[in-house]
Amino acid sequence: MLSQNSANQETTLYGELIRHGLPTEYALRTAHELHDHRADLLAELRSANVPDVEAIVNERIGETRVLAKQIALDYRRRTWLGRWPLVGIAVASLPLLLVGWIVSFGLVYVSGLLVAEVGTACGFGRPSTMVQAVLAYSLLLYFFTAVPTAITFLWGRIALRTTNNRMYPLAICLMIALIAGSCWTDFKVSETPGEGQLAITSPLTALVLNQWMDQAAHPYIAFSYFGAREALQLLGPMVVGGWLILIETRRRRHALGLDPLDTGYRNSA
Amino acid sequence: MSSHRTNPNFLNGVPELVVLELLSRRPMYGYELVQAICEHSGGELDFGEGSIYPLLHKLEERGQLTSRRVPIGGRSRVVYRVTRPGKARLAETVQEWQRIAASIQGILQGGDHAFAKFC
Repeated sequence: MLSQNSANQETTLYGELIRHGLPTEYALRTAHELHDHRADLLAELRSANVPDVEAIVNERIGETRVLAKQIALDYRRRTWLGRWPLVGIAVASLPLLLVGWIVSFGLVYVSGLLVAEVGTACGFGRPSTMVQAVLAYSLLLYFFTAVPTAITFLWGRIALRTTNNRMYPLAICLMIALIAGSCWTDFKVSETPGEGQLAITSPLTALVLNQWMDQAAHPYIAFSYFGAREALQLLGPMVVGGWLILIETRRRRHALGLDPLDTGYRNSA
Repeated sequence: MSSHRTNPNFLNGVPELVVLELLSRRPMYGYELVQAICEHSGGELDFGEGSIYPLLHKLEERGQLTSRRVPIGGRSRVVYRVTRPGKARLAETVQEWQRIAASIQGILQGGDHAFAKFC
């Protein structure tokens, strides 16, 4: 009876901790330790012939939901991001995206210089327009789809772990998707050095540019208002954000039916 | 909801000090620690189980405690022990606590002019 009640209490506590968004390993560990604690308390009270020990223990340890809420709150307060989620998580995602772009541009720039040096040293000539176009397209995808998507994934995971709240990854993915999706780009490749063109702009400037630009002089640069690349830029972060939230929701639902006593907590320390 | 009452908010930082101090004397598992807190404080201090375990985990994450599973009394327990950074933190916290306690004691006993020369 004792072990059954304790196991029920632990399973519920574990489920509640997961429902509050705590990491599985941490929830398992805490539930196990509190299960041991409860068993020790029950054993001690029984050995002292105290009547109605279950009620005393329940009052002492507290209701599972309240206990789980307190543990989750303590867990969140451990980190600065957990204490200040709005500033730390939601607002910081935009500067983080800028930093991501600057760093990735630096990496591409340095790699490009190295490749050009090696290519010249090995006697390779200027790449064909086809290769240039593929490269330009890949770079645009890298900057405006891959980098924002990667930042959404990393920052979204950190947000889930530190705030235990699915609204923050949602806010992050929406903000990054809007920024990335509103970066409109186009390029022109040329066999003649110095004639290649790359343009990056926002929707508003694109409207002005389309009216102002001499299409005869720049036949390749005509901004589409929402092309396939812009759709990818918008969808990449949103899909990743949605996927993170979906996985977290499934984890929380699934945990409610788990029995942590079967899985067993093992401390590696 | 439980009617069990734990210590009020003005004891912020005290659980950390008490836990580090007691664990520096000897390694203990959670239940032992809660008992020791109650025993050594004459029943005055009661942080509640919901606070003690998260605190132990937080101190472990900061590297001030280590834990390992040890078989005790036929069951496997997570026993915590203070590390070197934990001892350093304890010394720092004890000093801070003694300074604050002396100040408050001064206010309570010394009247208006007890600390006038420092202000």
